[in-house]
Amino acid sequence: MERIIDRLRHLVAENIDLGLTAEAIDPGAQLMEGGLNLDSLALVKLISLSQQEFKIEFGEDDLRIESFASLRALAGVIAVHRGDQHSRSDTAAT
Amino acid sequence: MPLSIAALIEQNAGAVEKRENILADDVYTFRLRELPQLLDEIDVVVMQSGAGADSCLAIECNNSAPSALLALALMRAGRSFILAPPSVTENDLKPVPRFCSHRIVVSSPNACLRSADATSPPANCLRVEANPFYNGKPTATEKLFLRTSGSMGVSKIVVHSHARVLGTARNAVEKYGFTAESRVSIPVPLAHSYGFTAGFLPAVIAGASIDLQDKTNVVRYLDHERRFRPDIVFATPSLCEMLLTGFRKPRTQYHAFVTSGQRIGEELFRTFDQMVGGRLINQYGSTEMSATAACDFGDTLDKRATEIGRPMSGVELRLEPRGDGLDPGTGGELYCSHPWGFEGYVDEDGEWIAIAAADGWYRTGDIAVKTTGGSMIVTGRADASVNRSGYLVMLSDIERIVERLDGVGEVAVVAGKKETERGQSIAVFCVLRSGVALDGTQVRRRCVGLMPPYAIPDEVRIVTELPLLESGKLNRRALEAMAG
Repeated sequence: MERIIDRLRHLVAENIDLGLTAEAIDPGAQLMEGGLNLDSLALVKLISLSQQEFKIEFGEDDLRIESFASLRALAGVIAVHRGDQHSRSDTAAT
Repeated sequence: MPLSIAALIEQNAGAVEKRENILADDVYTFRLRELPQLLDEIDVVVMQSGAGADSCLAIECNNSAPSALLALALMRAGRSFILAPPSVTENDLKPVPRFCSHRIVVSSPNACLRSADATSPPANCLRVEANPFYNGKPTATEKLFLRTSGSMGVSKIVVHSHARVLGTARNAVEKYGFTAESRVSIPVPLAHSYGFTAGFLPAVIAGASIDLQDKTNVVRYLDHERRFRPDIVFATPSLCEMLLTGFRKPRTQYHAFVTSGQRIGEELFRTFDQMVGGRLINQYGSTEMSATAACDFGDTLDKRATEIGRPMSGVELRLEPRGDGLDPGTGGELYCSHPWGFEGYVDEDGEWIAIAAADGWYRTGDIAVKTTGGSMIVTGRADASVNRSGYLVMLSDIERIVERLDGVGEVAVVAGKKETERGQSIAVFCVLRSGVALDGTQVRRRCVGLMPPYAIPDEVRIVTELPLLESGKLNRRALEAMAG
């Protein structure tokens, strides 16, 4: 989970014009107003980047305000997806 | 006799099929039967401010129920007002026109969520302040002032009357089929003509349920869609592009998914139309002329994706020869005559700058070609501007800013061929000063912070010289051909 959070911080720092380094990004900060202030286009970029980076696809049920409350919340959603994939690959191997 | 706002509010509050319909935002949900009382409370706040009946008020309007109710209260009372987007922060309030005696700031839904509870009356979300720069001049009653979605310079103030905006709203009721059963979602700004006159007022006229979305994005939109289940939506091409990243399956509940504010690319139109069950309609219009034309639901996808469609009731369109000497086969300048068009422009002191033509014809600034079927396709602008995220950006404004960057000599900015998520692409060509070594990416990065995000060029190319015509003038056609 911490690795996912760290990777998300780098994705945001490197791809979204916030003027922040990865280390300066608080994973608990709100992504939208009152925190990192990601605008609508930045949010779409984050969704696309996350899907590419972690090789997942968010379902419509994942795309909720709670899932994008913070990078930590988003990491939780990603972890669930990755956990599902790992379970399937473990099953296939046996 | 068409109904006034006052009569509509009372009718909606009393009619069995309408009174339980709602006006909602992220915080509030009101039944239409409550509206008369809520508007009375807002009237008290406005009267207590001391604003005279013949003074104009400036509303900093977000997409919230209190904002919407305030606008309705002022229209019901016959008061004149200007709608403006909210200031970014309370410490940096935007200046209001000097012909406005007071500013009314409406708390954002987020602020209401954080501070007030949802049972607090919406009148409590309003803060009225006297305008220290008010010029003391009275304003005619029943006027609605709107700022154009101007370039990075000063926008123009467009003058409408309450009666005219209700007239154009009735056109939208007819075009999009609003009824009392409609569930209308408005994620586009109420402070702009499109959101207010094509989305909100028609919904009020029909007595429909309304959901207002403030600062929408893909996850907020999906949340609202799940809760509210809209069947009519007013969006922009940027929002459609965003929603494509979130829509995982086609929707079947939409009666009308309307887009406007900037030209929608044909590819985006076709792709998104599939996601909304073939119910996508692009509306052509302007702050000056409001909703002007739109295709019909029965039109083919090819037609809906490319043409501006049938003029609204009472509207006429015609093409005039282009003034730039270019081949007439490339189209003409589009003129519009509209029964509910604007009255003219005023300046910040409320003085007339220009009055709408006496013959009622308005030069749209668009270039269009006529189809064999008699419809029109808009092909570009006549005035070297592009529409980006709903804002008209003058390319000369970008040139002026880039020219002032250290190390940059000559600059030329042209519209590119590509459609981006923000609209038509913008390409900058720079000749650097002697001895300076910069690349296009570095120049582009320097634009961040100097211009609004929607105006930042998509492409910056460093060239050794700008192409010229034999006359010595800049060869913009050559640059447009080079642009991506």
